[in-house]
Amino acid sequence: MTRRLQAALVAAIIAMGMLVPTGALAHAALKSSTPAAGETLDRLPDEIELHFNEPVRLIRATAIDRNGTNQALDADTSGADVRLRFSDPNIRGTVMVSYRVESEDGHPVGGTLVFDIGTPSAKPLVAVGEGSGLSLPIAIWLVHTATVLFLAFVVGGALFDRWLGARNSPTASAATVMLPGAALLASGLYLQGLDEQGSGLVFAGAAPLEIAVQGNAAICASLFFLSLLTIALPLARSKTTGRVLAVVALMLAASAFTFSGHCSAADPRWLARAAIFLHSATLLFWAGSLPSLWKLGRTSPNLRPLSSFSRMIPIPFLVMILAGIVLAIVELPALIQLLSSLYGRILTVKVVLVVCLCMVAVYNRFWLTAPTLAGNPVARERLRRSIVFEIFLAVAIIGTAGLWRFAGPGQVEAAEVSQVLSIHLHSEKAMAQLELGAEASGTRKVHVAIMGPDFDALDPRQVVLRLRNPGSAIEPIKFELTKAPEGGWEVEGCPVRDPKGWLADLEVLVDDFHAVHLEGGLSD
Amino acid sequence: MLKSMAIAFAAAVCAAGAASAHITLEQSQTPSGKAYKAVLRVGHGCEGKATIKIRVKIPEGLLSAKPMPKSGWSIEKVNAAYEKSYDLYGKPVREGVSEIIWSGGTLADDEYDEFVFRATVAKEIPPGTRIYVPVVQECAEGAVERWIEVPAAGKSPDDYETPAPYFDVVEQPRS
Ligand SMILES: [Cu+2]
Repeated sequence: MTRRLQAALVAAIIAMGMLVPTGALAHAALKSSTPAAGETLDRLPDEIELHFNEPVRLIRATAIDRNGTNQALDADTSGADVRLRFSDPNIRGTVMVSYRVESEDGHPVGGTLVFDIGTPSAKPLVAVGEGSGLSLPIAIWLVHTATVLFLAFVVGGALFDRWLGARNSPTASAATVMLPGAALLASGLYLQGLDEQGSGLVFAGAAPLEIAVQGNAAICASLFFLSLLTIALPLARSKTTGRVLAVVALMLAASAFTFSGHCSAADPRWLARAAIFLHSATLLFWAGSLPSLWKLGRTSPNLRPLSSFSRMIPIPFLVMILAGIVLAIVELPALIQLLSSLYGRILTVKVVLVVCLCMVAVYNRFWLTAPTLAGNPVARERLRRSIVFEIFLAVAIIGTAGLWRFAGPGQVEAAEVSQVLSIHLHSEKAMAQLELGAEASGTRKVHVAIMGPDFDALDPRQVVLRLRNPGSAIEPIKFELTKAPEGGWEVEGCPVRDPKGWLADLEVLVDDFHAVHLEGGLSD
Repeated sequence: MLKSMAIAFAAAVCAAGAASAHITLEQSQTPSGKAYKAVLRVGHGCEGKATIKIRVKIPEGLLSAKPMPKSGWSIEKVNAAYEKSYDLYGKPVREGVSEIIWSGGTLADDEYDEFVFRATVAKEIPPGTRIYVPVVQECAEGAVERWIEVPAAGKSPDDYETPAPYFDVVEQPRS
């Protein structure tokens, strides 16, 4: 390398250094705004003005009105001043203007300005994404039910065919298993991501998938996928390995269920998970056997699988019902809630359906199976018809169970806490009890009690609460709390109704030079 | 070649720290066991109001801190016991200046100034330690900015609105 080239390289590195953002040293801060935070105006001004302490570049600005509608704002930036204009000037009630700017140092900073037009909203602001209607829950439920049925018919069906079926029972091709399976699992994940993101049933690019793959839904979907793949393997066609792989697939699918639903989080967890595993494994096997049995009655002169099935089915059936009872007890500690909660009502419907199914199954086994095996054509026809009825019942049961996603037992309590929300936050140096109570104006009053790490008294100099909602693109709203007459710290006019998605950062100034941050979600 | 590239890179990184709006330290690193000249750069007031007082907390491990006098400002020093005893040139030290206060002057929001003190980084502070120097900036009309945020584990000063200025203790250069 020549000297000159070296010098040029060195100069280039120095020049690059000059362009490097001024390294974590400076970020812009909002100095003032018109209107000011918390101000009440008669009508929406032509422009909202934000004044920063240094020149900024606006990344985005959105306004959220009392209906939870999110509108992007037109913006003009000159130096340290940003002017924002609404496209709809007829906004009334509480408005949140959320902005994100980039400072001179390249560091993004966000904040939210809350003010009122006319009187504060009678109804508090809804978190964005709420009230998006029933289309997303219905889509989630349909895809979930279809996925479970597909798994039952493929995995449970394979288990029946391999172990009890006729010698040359046809096997599904890899494509007929994997293509619909992958489509169902992918769309299930996408819908889950949409739900977590808080948006309705829309196409939102790859973002929902990125969100969903971070959660349990992804583990669940991967296990389902592996289970289907095990069935689709060419190896699964041979007799002995086929039998083993069918069992493996059933276990994979059943363990997937232990990662989903409210039950998996119930205590004691090992019991709940073991019960889910047994319940879903037996359910998949039994529901999956039904179509094969029906086909058997139509075509095959060899009814040996029917007699084997009839001999062994009481055991899995009993396991399924016992595990179901365990789950119901774990989930529903108080029988009182049986009819008062959505969860309890779904359980009641499911139990009724299962009782119907038991009666049909008993009728099949004790009245129809023996004559069918003996060659009675009338009994055989009746058996086939009752199997069709059993399939209907199985679909209804799986569909009903799918509704639980929207009615966890926790939701009984959620309805109560929506009045007063209480959250405990703590770190090594301090802890706090946050209470968000409802106010007549519809906003919430925040009360904070602060203690030392051992419940000892702590008398902070200052307390600042920052609330943000990343899922709804609401940048931090800053509240400076004041000392409450009855002790603790408080602030009024907090525009949070639904705690979902909101994150709190409580900054406690212990003494002049020490601040402690307590962080947590409002819905944790 | 490698060496000159490294020097250029180091120079570039130092230059990157030059333009700043917050209260920052001019020198971003210093060897352990040596004197450190802390130049606090004050780029603006508190929300538009003029600065009238600068209070600096001398962190644990910075020994025998001495402020540089500044015309127009009076200096106050607060003494306190250290958490631990340190060895300073063979003698144990257990207490010293824990806070320096410059007051009585005025620094307008659109003006810039520097406040300087010198202290010895205790030998006991291992290289790789990041030392935060919390500063409270008091302004006219009772306004206050506290540059005291020390990042929690997994966070960086960037995650805070008012991070404390800091410098890194590094290995003694071998000569
Ligand atoms: Cu920054």
